[in-house]
Amino acid sequence: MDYLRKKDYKKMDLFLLIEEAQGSNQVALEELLRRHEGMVFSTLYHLSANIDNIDDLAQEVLMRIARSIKTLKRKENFKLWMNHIIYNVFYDELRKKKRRPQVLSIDNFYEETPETPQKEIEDLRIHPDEKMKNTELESVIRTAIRDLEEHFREVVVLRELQGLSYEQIAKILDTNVGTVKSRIARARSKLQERLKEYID
Amino acid sequence: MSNIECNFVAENLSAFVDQELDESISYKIKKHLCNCLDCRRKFSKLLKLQRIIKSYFCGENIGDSSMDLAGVLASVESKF
Repeated sequence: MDYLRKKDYKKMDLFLLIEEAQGSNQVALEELLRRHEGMVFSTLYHLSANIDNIDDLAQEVLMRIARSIKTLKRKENFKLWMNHIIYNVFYDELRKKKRRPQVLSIDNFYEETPETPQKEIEDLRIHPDEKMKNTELESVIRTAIRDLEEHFREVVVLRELQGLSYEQIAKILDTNVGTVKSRIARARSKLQERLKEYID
Repeated sequence: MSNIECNFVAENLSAFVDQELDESISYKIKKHLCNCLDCRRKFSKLLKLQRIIKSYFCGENIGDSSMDLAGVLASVESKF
């Protein structure tokens, strides 16, 4: 499709775009990555409670997509496949972080257990590209999601942000649909508790 | 309404909102919701929660166009 201009790719149907990208069309690949970079970044941002190198992780995800797009067999599975990559990159990083020695800082002043509320100083840095309105509710929701335990946070992000089905989430997390169903229900009940004054 | 029915609905309400239940179970829940005010309130709160979480995620543009895509592609090309 050499006769197409860059702007034509912007309007191109996703499946066709994937097909083109798989056929070594660099413009199509670039457009495919451009369409999904925001979602990749956003998913990583919400999956993590305290990972500070999200830009690097997002680059890594996009690189893996670009590198292995030809291995994607069914175009309709692109979203699921992309989320597998996001999930793998994210948890690789988390494992690396856990192996790194802890540095004593003011954030570690209190002993934290899953039951105790986080005592760390709230991270008030806003990503330079963050265009979100900083309303009170958004800030409360962000904190509520970040305060969820990891296995609850990940199902909320995969369901509400990515819009994946229970079956797709189960595949990504390598678990069964029943577990996904109960985790989503429990995560919501925790969020309901934390956001009580906004939904009652 | 019987407690057994309300408990059953409470256990499945979240999956019901996500339309992830079998048709027969969904039907049972719908029928129960028509007759039980308490469960209907829980249902409406859950819908409200889902709406605000979804709009929170949708309203975000974080990371939009922040990546160096040309850099990503160049890096991939140089490796392969």
